[in-house]
Amino acid sequence: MFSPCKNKKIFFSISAVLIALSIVLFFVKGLNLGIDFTGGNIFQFDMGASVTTDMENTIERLVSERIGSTDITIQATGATEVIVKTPELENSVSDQLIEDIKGEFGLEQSAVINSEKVNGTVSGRLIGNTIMAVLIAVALMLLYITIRFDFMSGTSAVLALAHDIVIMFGFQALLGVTVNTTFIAAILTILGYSINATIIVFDRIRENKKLMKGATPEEVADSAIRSSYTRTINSSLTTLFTIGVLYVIGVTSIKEFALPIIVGIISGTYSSLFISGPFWAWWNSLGKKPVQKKK
Amino acid sequence: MKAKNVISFILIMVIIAAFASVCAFDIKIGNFQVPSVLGDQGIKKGLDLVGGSIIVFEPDVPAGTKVSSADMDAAEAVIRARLDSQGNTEATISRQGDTGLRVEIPNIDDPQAAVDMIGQVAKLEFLDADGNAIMDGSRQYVSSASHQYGDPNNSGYQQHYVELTFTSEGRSAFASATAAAVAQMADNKNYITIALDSVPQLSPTVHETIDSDSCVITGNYTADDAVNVANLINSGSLPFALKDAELRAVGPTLGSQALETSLKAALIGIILVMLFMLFFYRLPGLVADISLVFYISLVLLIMAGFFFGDGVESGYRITLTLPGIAGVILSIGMAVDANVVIFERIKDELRHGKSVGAAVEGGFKRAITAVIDSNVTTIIACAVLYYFGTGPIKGFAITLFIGIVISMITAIFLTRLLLKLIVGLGVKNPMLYGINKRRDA
Repeated sequence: MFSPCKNKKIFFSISAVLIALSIVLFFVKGLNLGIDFTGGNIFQFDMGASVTTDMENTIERLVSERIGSTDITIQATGATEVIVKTPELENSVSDQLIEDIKGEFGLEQSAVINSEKVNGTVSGRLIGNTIMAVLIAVALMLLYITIRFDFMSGTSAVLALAHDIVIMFGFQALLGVTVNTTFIAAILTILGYSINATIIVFDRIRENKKLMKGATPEEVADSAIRSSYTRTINSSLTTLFTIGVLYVIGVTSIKEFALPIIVGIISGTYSSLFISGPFWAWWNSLGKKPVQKKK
Repeated sequence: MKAKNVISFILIMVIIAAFASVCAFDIKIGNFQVPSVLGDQGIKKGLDLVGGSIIVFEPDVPAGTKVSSADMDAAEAVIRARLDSQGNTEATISRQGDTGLRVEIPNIDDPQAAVDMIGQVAKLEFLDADGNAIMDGSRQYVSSASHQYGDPNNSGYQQHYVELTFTSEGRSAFASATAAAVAQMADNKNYITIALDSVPQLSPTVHETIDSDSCVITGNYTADDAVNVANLINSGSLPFALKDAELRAVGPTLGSQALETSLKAALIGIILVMLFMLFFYRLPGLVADISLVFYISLVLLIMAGFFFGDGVESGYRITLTLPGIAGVILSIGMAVDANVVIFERIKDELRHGKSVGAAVEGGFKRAITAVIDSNVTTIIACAVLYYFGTGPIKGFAITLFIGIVISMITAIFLTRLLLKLIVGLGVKNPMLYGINKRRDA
């Protein structure tokens, strides 16, 4: 029978490579931060016709003339929509910018489907709050798992969680999708989800420790992981069904939210089965190895 | 025994059907009326779904300046009064952090104009009956305004009122103004108007010359009214304008498109999950699907404020935002998780050769610790998210929290009850419980 613990080197290596890649991507390519984090303005227009390169160029020229800067991103989205991103603008300037574009393309006010402005100081606070929220959530979960299981189970679960979150960041950097407040919600969702999946395995380990007297930690963990396969995969599948449909047919902001969750769920499924259990077994057999050698 | 089980089973189905139909349709029986939760009167939809503007104001002060909580209250009162004077009575104002005021205005054409109008420094004036300025509301004249409760006129009954205290300059200006007002009592001009941005807010009647460091304004106020009036008067001394730190304007088309696609996604997602459960777990899968219908109905009804307060106008309605919908849809996928954990345990027990009845009983017992422990950790994440999040993130945390709690309850109680009833009916072929004889036995 396949033993996740005996093959832990393979799994740990796969994860190490993914984590290393994620970290490299994060620092080399960086995240495509949205205005929630950088501050700035964003406008979304419904052009009424499919967006051509000519139109994009015209928009770029109009906008840069109006704001006196070329720090502009223009992106076609949906069938006939275009998103314009600029540094933070005075309200009067952003008003005129909208008028410029409406005038050039003969658009009604209803064509301005979205207009957002975020101040730089607000976004700085957001990042601080988020890091604090994640640390507090992790500390509370670690405390809970330590009380209900043991400290090493908690540590293994947090390790698997860190694994999932690093990979989520790596994927965001790889795909270059916009990172906004919703990414924070996605991370915190996976925070709960990943630990949730790991706990199912540790619940079996807790039970097996009582049932399998005299078994090594590896045997205990292997048996627990094997009996958790179906549950973990089925639960991930049902969640992926709903969030996947949301990704396929949702609007832009929903897609921004659904994609990192999908990545996190897949990573969480993998780490709860092949990282946290084997890690727990490896750690617990560390001290016991000399005893086994004497036998 | 069997007859009792059949009756119980049918009764539960009827209750679930009733819950589901309350969700889906407008129901009217005599005077008893329950609007559909997905209709206009049901779950309140956030601005990102109906269109409108979200503006977060912050005091326009040099960095590092402390702004007192009383000043923020006054700023909030100014915004409220200005929105009301523009007819934006559906707008909501809430605090965001220590110094943020989050204003949400539905169906607004020109958010920039609203920002300019709301952000100005408050101009509070005391006017006489002919509209001549007596004094302004600055610290030069008015030291403070506060809400009080007591019997200021020795009239023998307790009431909520507002107390103003004046500086010496304010005292003399107010004394001569009240003396003039009393002199015009015969013409019914014995009142003083307090105006914000030249819009009259209240006009208390003057009964006598007031030459004192303080005066009271009474008027059958509720506690809230009195607090509002006091905050409004305090706005006269607000040392700052408000600037918009965040401004998001969603057009109505994007909003309705977001709502429509999300609902469609929810429907497809639910069908996929139900089919999967049915094919993979067979009879228990069917039971899980029935529980899921109940689960979805319950979550929607809670969000619509159905169970608390006095129906649609109660404060327990949850505003459904786009991330909120995503939270609900995500929770549907996660809701069957508890069922999956339990059913896998039941299959384990069956494989160990237990009878179907004993397997169902044992499966639930063994699964319950895992179900509770795994969900508590997600609830912890929700709580932190709610505490630190703002606006839409808070909405997401609430819906996910409701989803998780209800899913645990339906899995532990409803699924179990239904399965036990079915076993009691004599449906005991292990094949129906997801066991493949050839492979597992």
